[in-house]
Amino acid sequence: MSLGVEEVRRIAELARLRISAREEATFAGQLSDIVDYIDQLREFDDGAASFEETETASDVADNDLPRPAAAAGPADLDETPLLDQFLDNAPASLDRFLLVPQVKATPGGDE
Amino acid sequence: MSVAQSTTGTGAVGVPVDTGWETVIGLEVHVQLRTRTKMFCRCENRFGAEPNELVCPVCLGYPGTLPATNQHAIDLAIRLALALGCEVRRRSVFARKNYFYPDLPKGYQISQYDEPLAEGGSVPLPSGNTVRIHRLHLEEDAGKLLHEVPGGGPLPGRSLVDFNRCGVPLVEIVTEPEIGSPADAQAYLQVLHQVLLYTGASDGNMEEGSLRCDANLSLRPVGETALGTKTEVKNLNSFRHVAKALEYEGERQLHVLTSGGRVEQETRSFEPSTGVTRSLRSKEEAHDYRYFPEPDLPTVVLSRERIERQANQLPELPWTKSARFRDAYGLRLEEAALLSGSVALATYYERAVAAHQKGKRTIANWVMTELLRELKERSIDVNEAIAPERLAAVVALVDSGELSTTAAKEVLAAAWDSSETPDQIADRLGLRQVRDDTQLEAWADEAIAANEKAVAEYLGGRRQALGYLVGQIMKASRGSAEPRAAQEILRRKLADR
Repeated sequence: MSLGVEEVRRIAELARLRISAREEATFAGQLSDIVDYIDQLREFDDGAASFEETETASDVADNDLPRPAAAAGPADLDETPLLDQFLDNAPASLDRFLLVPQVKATPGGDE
Repeated sequence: MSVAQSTTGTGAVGVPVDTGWETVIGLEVHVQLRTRTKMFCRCENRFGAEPNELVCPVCLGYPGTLPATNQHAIDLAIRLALALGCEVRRRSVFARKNYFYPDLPKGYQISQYDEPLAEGGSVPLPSGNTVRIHRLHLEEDAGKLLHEVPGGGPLPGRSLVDFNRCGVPLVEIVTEPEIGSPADAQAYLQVLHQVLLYTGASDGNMEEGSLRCDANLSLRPVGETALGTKTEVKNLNSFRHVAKALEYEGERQLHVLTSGGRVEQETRSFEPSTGVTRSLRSKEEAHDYRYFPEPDLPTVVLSRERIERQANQLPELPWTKSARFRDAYGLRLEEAALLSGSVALATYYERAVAAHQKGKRTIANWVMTELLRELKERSIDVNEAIAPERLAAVVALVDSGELSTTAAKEVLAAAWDSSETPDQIADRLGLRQVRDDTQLEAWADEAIAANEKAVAEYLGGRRQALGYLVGQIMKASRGSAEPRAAQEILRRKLADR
């Protein structure tokens, strides 16, 4: 098995997930199967140039052109403007802001 | 010495060598690129919009959305990397950096990890030192957190999130950890800021957060090659703050080390009002960002031609321009550095010199003093200043002896807001230097008659009194008397007494 219970616990902690001891064992098995399967894929040689290595298209003239702000207009499947949808889905909001429990220290992100 | 209390003791040079310790600084700079849209969606990249106005399902991290790379951002990053002397890699990879924070709706930031856009590079400083660049990579900015209600007002226990900044194209530039002093760290940032404006890669607006700096500092015994334990000061948003924070941090660490303690590896914040850095609440958990290649984006593969196109668009860079100014115009290094501080100012100076070639040094002085002061007073940009050719014409009148410096300042002020030529203004205001003896004699007679005390002093052997009398003539002539001729006439008249 490529993943042990210790690693599963660590991953769960980083992902802010609380899991039971029984689940730890189950997930260790399932995640190991996934990782092992990916290792198997690595052995496969498709013999052709990888899709990845295609030169990045650079001459997209309108690539940096803004489209109208989505927040003001309706979202795709609904007539409700995106900002309203987004604030409705949020646990809490204040005016146009998302309201969250206080965060002041930086845990290592870029802010 | 109480190191902790002395915030100015060692000054900008950092920890003095005679302490037996040396300073090692590394800087991590985040630069917002000047694009019209965000890095991975086509929301506008614009400062100052209404909160959460510039958002879409992609930058809000909605399930099922896909990022699409802004190619213009890549081009700007290539140009910046080349300006900094980096080697742009033909192949680089976007990676997910995973962490949870309210300003990051996806739960990961798209960044670059083991295959960044560019590596190596160096930036020459005016001091003659060089700062080497370790790497330069592309990523997206996070949203912005507010800890009080906009316009003031407390927000106990809560924070506000605005996602307008989320997804704005960022370049992260990391130096080698080898900068030796806070002064060099500050100078590096100032040169980097110039490069951003020269290349047009960023607006470099620090108040709006277009340029932000994290600084690492450690001390090690002089002669030691291994690095000591470092601390990181986050989110420094002015050149002065960077130097101040690093000066404080160097002295703090010196105090810890010389009193037998150990420096804790930690993140600290700088409080500008007190000049003090403070430990941020840090959990004992090492960061584990679980980087992996971004599966939703292809590898960035750059053709030689594409990189060359950016190389061809590079302007003359600040340090090259500065060296050329020094050599071609006979300026001192500091003068050359000041005049090449911005492309606009450098162009202004060169246009003025082109109009009055013999005046390259005098024009430099006028630009650095009179022009800059006037710009500051009027709160305007050099592009809105009096035309460089007109300034050159004023300086030419000084160089030819037609105008005194004082009179020339008056002509310049008048020429700024008028369409008359400086020549016409000098005539209209009667400011041309008078060398005509009849006129000078009349002023000299007046000065002698009205200042008996000074005359007596001069005749009594106090030669400085003559200067006072010359001053009176200058005053009476509103600066138009030619001082040397005036002095000559005074001396002759007083000798007759």
